[in-house]
Amino acid sequence: MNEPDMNPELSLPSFTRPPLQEVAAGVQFAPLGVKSVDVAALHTLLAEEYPNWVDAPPLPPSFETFGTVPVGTFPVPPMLLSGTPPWLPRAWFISADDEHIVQAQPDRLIVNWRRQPQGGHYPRYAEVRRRFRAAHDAVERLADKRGLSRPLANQCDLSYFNVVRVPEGADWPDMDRLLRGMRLNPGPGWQASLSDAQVSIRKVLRHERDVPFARLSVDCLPVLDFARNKSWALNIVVRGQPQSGSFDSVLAFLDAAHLEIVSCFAAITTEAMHMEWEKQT
Amino acid sequence: MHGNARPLSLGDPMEPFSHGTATLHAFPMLGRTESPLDGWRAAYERLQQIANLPDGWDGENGAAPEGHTVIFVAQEIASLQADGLPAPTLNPSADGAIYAEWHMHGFDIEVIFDAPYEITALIEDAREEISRFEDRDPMMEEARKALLALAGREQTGRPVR
Repeated sequence: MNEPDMNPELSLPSFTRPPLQEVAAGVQFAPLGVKSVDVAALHTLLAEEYPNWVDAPPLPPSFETFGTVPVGTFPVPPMLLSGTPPWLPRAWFISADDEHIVQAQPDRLIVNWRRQPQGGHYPRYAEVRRRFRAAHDAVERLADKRGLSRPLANQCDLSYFNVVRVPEGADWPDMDRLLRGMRLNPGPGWQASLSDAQVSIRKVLRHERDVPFARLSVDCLPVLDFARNKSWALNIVVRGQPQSGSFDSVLAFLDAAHLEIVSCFAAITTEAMHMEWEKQT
Repeated sequence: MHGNARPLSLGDPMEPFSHGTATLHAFPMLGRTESPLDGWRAAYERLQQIANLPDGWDGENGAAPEGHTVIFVAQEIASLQADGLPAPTLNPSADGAIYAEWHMHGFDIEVIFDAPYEITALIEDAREEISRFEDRDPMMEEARKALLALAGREQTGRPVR
């Protein structure tokens, strides 16, 4: 799967005006022995597409586990990291139009697309994937040049963050306008005049041998959009372990996660919303 | 890989337990006569101690565990705790692995964390109700089954061998 010629968008539900605000494709790997000078060298390799650079706090390592009760993202006690060398910042390399970001730290690479407040066109998963691949190629070239081992993946994630304005005449608790069947229907004796509501859904993804490898998480919660209109954030994330540490396995994981997320999104949202988002297939 | 790399005792006094304890209260109590929180508290203290080990910690060539391995163990044992399972005894190994062990209610269970998802489980049940297992267990499925059986024995209060 070095150069997949498949179109990952084929046969998936597609929307002309999806409510996406951000998409992030990420990989976590065994820490590379890089120094700050290497981060500058990585920026040089990527500067044509991402001329701007800011620093952010590093993300702690995180792993999906598969117990009966999901523990979510376990907050890593800072003391557990105290024995490790000082962490470099997480570098954000940002495109000139502010829509695309490459985030890099010694054990993490993330590629983001984000919608601008004035709008913009979602460039589709294939473009996010292309940029992810290019950024990973740059990290590999840098590792080769510095005589470091190449990134060995131990965790991947693909995240879709949607923001949907609450329709006229509805309010935050009326999530059935966005999500199929999510209507609270209380019995008599209690006046359900709710101020807001949230929904979380989890699904463990399994290999053919029924071994778990990832978890899909859906969270719907009340937010305000850029214009401070009442809206729902609908976040769909797949996180887990690629089949091996190779980059081919990382891409295979992301492709499977993309399929799962888009199928889930189309299946849990209402027909009325599909019309608003101009569903094509 | 495990060859001679048996876990060694640190033998040092525990450092003060100083990180947040929210997860210690996030699982059902299961009506035990003694609080399982003490065991979990000791496990997290121990993991913190292991996380701070330097190379050569055993006075020889003992490797410090990798940061990702420590975090992975923290997340796996948090998952066990959320499932209401008993706390392990944790020990470092000279090859950088971390051992989690349970020796109670007729069970000998050892789970060896070499790296994230690189897990080997050794399971023996003196009552032979659970099959002997010694193999890779990357998602801890076999270990969880045995730990559930162990927790069941703990609850029923059957005599301990």
